[in-house]
Amino acid sequence: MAQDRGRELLELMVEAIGAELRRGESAEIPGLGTFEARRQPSRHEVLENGDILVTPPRSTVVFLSSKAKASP
Amino acid sequence: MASNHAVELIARRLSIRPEQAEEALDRLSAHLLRQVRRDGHVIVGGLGTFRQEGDAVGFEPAEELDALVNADFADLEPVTIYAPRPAPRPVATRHRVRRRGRTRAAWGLAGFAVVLAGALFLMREQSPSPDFRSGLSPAEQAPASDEQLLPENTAGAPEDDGAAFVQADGSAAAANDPSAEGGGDAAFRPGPEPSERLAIDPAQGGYTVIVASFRDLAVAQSEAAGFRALVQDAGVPVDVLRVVVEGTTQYRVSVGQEPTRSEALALRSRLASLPDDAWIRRIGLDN
Repeated sequence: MAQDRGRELLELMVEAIGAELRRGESAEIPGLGTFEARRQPSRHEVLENGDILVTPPRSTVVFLSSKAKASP
Repeated sequence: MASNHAVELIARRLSIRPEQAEEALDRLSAHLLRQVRRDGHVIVGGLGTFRQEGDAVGFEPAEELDALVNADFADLEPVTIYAPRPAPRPVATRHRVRRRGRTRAAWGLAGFAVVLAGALFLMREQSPSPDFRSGLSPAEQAPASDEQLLPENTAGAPEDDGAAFVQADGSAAAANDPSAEGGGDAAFRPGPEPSERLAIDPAQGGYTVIVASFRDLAVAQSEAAGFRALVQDAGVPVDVLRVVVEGTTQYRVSVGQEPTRSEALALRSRLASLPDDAWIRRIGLDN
């Protein structure tokens, strides 16, 4: 019973983290750490032949553990 | 603790207070971290992999989470902006020149057509007052039934009211023509190379297309020469036929000699260079 409740809590945690990151917010999980979505803007790379390769922007998920956050 | 949307969301879903949700998450986190320390890593489906990295805990997001946070850019692909390169000048130039040449040729043809049309119009307008264009009298357009086109030397031809046939080059002198009897009419002098021209043979009768009518033989012959040049490719004879209508001699420029009226009409239709108001006449006395 406690195991089912733990699994349900874990699923809710995953869902809550995804929802916060989707909104562009960070998600802080007590005792674990903070999840952030960091936006990388589009990049322009000039190739050897003079062409320019434009890479679209993307977001990267970054995790900051509570321990690391507590001890900078 | 500051407002934590994740904790509040979990509390709402579990119908518990945020403090209770926070405590539950704290216990869950401690459990996960113990597993990471024990196993070196823990995979949480839909979230990612936690790894023990020294004293710290590293995290690698799962594909699902990565796709979720990049949903706004899902359709974007890298784009290459090509650097300007020199155009293949020879090909482009050739195409341009060819196109320009076509345009010039088209304008040249149009100009030539306009000049040609103008020249033909002026040539026809400057011809000396042919009776044909100035409007023939009703009697000329629809002569009396006894008016015929006569061969010049047909036996028994009437002296006054009859008609005489005169070849365009005047090779057959009109014995019945009073003006020719004096022998001084230059229009009746033989023209050059009559044998090369197709001639209307009045003895064979038939029908011809009258394209012009004049009182002056010289004018008629000149006009006949013009029509001869126009229809030379068709291989039809062009001659001047003399008729006397109500005491007046008319010289008719005649094109073709067809056995029937319908064939003469067909000839008129076939020769586009003939005037629209050309009319069909029977040749000879005895038909």
